[in-house]
Amino acid sequence: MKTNDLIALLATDTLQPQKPVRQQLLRQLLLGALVCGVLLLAVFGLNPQMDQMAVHPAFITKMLWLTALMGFSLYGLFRLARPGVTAGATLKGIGLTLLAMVSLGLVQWLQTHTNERMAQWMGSSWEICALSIAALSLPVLVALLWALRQLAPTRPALTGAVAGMLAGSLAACIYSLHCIETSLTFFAIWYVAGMALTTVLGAVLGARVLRW
Amino acid sequence: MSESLFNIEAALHALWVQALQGDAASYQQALTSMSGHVRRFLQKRMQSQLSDVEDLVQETLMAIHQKRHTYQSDQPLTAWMYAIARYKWVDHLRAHGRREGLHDDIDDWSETLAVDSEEEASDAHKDLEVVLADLPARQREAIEHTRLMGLSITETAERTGQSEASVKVNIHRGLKTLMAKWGAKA
Repeated sequence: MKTNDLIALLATDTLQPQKPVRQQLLRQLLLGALVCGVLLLAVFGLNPQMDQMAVHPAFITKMLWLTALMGFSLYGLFRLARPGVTAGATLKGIGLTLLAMVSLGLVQWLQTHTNERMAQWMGSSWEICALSIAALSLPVLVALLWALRQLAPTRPALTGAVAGMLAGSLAACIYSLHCIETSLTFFAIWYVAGMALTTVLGAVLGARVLRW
Repeated sequence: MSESLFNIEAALHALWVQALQGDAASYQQALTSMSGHVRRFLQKRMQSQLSDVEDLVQETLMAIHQKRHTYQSDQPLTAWMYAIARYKWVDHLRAHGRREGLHDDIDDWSETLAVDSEEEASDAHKDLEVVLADLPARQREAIEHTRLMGLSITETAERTGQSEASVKVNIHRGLKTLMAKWGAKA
């Protein structure tokens, strides 16, 4: 086909273009979050002492931290989903936020008496924490990758990784409604490990499914 | 032909805004103008496969059409258009094997490597890997990304996590080391 014929053909396609980038990503994020929330209630259940947990300083610190991670990665997706827009401050933001919790965890660990250090970083749920977060993040990751396929990321692996980070941090927020840990050291290790799993998975999947 | 990028942007953007309001004639005009820019962009980069240029122009136009909802007015329309063309071009290189992709860039090294046939180019590429293996990792990746993969300094900085300044410094130092070590033998 001649290029001019193609142009004439495209120009006759007056169908409404798809919804803008933000709207598509937010809609899928919300959908993923809903599925993730239902899964938590059905499989894990709420922490019975949620009322006390909700005002615990460690819980509040963790939620602020996770909110910052979600913020930076959502900002990153808004950018990476569009051609010609760089990732901007996304990686720096995510990196510094992670570093902040790791430093807090380390300080708290150093301040803990030697005999109690083991409990400080292993808590009572270390075996299931990271994997639970990674499992809960799957519906969110799938929803986000679905949205991204309608968009135009020019760096599939990086975009997938940031989608993984967003899915992981959202899943960690939701998992927090079940989690009974209050040690920052624990969060710095196991929550980060869970989100790292999702991020790697996002990068691997992204490199494959985000081609257009 | 001395149209500046600024003028191109202004003219295209005006057409594009009208096109998005449902004006098919403006849209056709915008796409026609874009096809010219994209064609020149690709011709410059695909000297060795000029026969593929028109196919890729069409693919890029289709992508522009299908992904038009990813353009937001906070960025230049030309940047968006060229990013799509670049993506399609890189995708094409990937599909047609790494060797073709490296071919253009190895030309930049022609004085050092004295490459004049395809076969030698591929041998030279193997040699190049051996030579590069001696460099410190940061210098090697800076050179690989910019000189072999053809990425810009900014893209290299993002991919490798180095700052733009250190990418430049690392390319410079790496090339200097290579010249000192291998250049003398030529």
